[in-house]
Amino acid sequence: MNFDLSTLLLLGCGYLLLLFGAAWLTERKRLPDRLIHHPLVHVLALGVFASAWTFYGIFGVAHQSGYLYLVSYLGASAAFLLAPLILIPILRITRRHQLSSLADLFAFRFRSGRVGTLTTLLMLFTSLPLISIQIQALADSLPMLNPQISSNQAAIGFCAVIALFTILFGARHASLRNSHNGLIFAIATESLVKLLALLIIAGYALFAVLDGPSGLIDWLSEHPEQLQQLRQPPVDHWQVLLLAFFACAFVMPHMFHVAFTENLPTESLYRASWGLPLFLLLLALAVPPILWAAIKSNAIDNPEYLVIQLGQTLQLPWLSLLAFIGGLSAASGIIIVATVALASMLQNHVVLPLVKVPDNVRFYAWLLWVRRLIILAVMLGSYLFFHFIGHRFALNQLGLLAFIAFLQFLPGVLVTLYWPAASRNGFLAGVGAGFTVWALGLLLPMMGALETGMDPARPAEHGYQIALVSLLANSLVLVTVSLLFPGRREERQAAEACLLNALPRPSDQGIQVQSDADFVNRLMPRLGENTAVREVRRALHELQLPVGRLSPLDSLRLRAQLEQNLSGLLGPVEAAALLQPLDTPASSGGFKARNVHLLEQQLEAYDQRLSGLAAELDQLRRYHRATLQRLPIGVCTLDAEQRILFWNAELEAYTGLTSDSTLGVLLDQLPKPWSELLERFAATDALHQSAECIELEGAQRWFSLHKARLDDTPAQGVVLLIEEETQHQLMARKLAHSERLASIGRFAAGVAHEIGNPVTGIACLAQNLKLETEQPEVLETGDQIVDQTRRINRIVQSLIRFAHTGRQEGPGHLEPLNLFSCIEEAIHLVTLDRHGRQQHFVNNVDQKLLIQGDLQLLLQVFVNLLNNASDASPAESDILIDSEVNEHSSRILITDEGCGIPEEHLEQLFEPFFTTKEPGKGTGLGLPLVYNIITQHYGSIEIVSPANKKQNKGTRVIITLPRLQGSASAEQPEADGEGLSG
Amino acid sequence: MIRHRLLLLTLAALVLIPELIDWWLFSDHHWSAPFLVWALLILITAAIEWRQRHHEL
Repeated sequence: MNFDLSTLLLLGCGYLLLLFGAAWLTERKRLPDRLIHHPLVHVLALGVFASAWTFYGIFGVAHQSGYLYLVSYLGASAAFLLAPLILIPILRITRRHQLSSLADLFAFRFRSGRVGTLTTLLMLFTSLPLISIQIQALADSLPMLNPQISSNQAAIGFCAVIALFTILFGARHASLRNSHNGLIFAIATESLVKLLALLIIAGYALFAVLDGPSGLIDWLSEHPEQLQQLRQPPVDHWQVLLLAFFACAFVMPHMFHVAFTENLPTESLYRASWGLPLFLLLLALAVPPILWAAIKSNAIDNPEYLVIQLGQTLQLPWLSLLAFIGGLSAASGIIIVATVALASMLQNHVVLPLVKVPDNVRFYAWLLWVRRLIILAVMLGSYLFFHFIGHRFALNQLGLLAFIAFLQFLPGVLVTLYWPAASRNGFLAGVGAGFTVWALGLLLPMMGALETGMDPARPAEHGYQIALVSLLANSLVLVTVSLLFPGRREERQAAEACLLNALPRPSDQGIQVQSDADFVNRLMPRLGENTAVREVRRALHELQLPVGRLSPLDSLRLRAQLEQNLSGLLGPVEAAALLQPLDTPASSGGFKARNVHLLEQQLEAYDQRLSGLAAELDQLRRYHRATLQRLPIGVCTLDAEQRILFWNAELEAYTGLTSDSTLGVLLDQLPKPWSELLERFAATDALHQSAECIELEGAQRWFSLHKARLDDTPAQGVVLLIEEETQHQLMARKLAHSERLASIGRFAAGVAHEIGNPVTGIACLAQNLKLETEQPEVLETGDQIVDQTRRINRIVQSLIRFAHTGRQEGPGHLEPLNLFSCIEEAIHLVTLDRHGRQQHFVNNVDQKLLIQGDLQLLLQVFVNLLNNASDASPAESDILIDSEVNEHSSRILITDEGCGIPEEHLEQLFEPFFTTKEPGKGTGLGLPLVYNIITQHYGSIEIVSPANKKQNKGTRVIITLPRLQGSASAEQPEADGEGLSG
Repeated sequence: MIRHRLLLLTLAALVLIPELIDWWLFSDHHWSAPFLVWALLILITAAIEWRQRHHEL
């Protein structure tokens, strides 16, 4: 049964156009994001593992070696079932260090460009047979459908279309770490197509050819040799093939690219740990029914292509075409991804180290075109390999050759993850030994260049032994040479960065840059000015750092970020070499300020991966850190060079300097006055220093300093404690001021008492004048003298009374007193102020209102309140004193027309030492005393401001005191003639 | 450390105990037995992954 050329072309091109369309729609974001980023798409994309060898060649293996065909599926399934052991750690390393291929991973781990170049060349050499298999599968299958088509023509046409697709959708971003969503979606579509094709063919074989499950059982019972053949004992050492496919699942360039380079979410890889084995199980399950159906139908002339032959024999064109499309899917998917992956490896490890970027080119565009040219070269190389070498061998021969070669990278991957002592020399020697055994034992005999007695038509028996020997040689040489020639210091650091559950130790290297411009200048000769600026800006943006001058710690962070980003662009070796000249040699001091901070940052990002004792220790670290961070006292630790290691939140509040801006900075580089204060104290031998005064933003602040030496820690530094004393100092000063005022008061009272005697004498003398003369002028003068002496006496008495207030033991003797008279007396005292009060005090208090109280204390209350009202009021304004009476209490309202009290001060008015007056004019003790006195009188005080809400001014003080019960019967206290009662 | 040992044990089982795989694939079971064992392994892995995902959430 032949097909028209046009039908085949239409079908083949139509299918490839479908792929183009899927990729184009994805890149243009025409498909829903949920679909594009669905974990199922990622799992299906990993199905690229199932190549044409798995689609066609596997039937040859199944026919020849029975269940041995399962080995390829089981090996890859084992790798994914054990994903947390190998795949997830590789994903974390590649993501953290922006590594885009296995060559990048090895070059990063062994800190060697030679390792990367060797891995790339070996990978290319090993992948050519693999890609050749795919070309051969299509070149062989098309002539089966139409004998007029030559294999060569089919191969050329296929390679051309696939190269076009790869260039269009596989080289879209300059950075190798950017995702190619279109490519991944197209590959996932291909995986789905090949799975469905094989399942449909298997379903038809089971139900139509073998007459269903019961028919299959009957057929197998009639042909027990078929089951026997399926279970035929394999040759010795076949298990090593399982290990080869285990390695291929993550070592082959296309698998590495899809699993680790395309930035799939970690969650997708976890789903793939069972999703891909399920995918492979379904593919494997389809093989026996198709094989038996082909045997039953006698379509077994060429077992490798029996899936196509079955349709031909049964005269079912749709079945043949379905098989062709499935094979086309399997072949094209792997070629596309493998070519992209090889191109990125060749770019980083072969082209860029050799070729200088031409001047006056756009770097990103130049890089893309280089990669596109490499893709074309790889496609051409694959075709040439097929044309001159590949077509001479069966699919499973070439497959075996390639898979055993990929196995040689497994020891390298395992030591990268699990053995930090492995060295670059060990790796190079091990890979060299493994590939030498492979070439001498398998490659050269297959090519006929070396005679070993191997039957080229049946390489398997010999191949398993060679695989085992090469793997053992590789591993033994790697271990032996690594032990004999250990790695350098930077190699060990990279090894620790790659270890499972291990944190990369911060480097002891310093860096000689002051600002981001230094980085730009360093990158400019290699990348060009625009690209250099863009990369530095991008790294600054990712770290949220400002443009301009950088702290030492930020310089190191920027360097690390730049190296990561450039690693995605140029590869890890090139990126490291580009930035290395900025480094300064490590100094002898082991423990550095930046180490602490970088370690902290890494632990912050790493905490979810810690387990067991490490997690508990991390919890303990966090607890201690939080304790120090939240201490209500400033804490700062310094290393031996006086670099700041720790700067807690309280210190941030004191200084206004953030922790990020101070860590790693030398003490003398802090802004003044902190540098002077802390450096001076750190330099002295004294462990304590009390109340150092500094000026901050125009205000004086006091700090006590304490320190302890950290001689028994790795940092060999000191810890400084900085305690703010400003409030204590201010309070002490106010108390001293109050004490001075009190002394003056007592002194004034003494003086007043002493003045009383001579004034009494003057008054007596003046009164005697009346008896000694009758001259009207003299008598009038005498009366005036007596009046003035009374006035002096009244003032002196008032002063003495006022001086007696302030007794802290509370009102000693409560007696009925007339509130009106008390307020009159207070008004009188207030008006004696030497500054002169220019307000009008209006006493509207009920003249008969009596309360129970201590006259002296209440005088102090009203004098204070009236003084405050007067201070706040404009000249010639009224200050009203009103009263309200109800059954049980009396309210006295003192209302002024002043500026009022800001709302934020209202709650603090009764706090000691709180004052809004100018320094020296108020002690802040008046209102607290008033409050105390009123509460001692079982009353309350309230301040309302503004009193006049319409004009938004004035303050009203409302004092509520218990009303004297039965006040009507209380007698008016005897007056002293000066209006004072009590 | 536990993962490390598990990996080594698994690799040892694959390489050093070939009889185990021989028995699994080439013994005189029903022809579908290898697939059933394989499906069981997948089921266990999926259950572990599901539990881990929901535990983390």
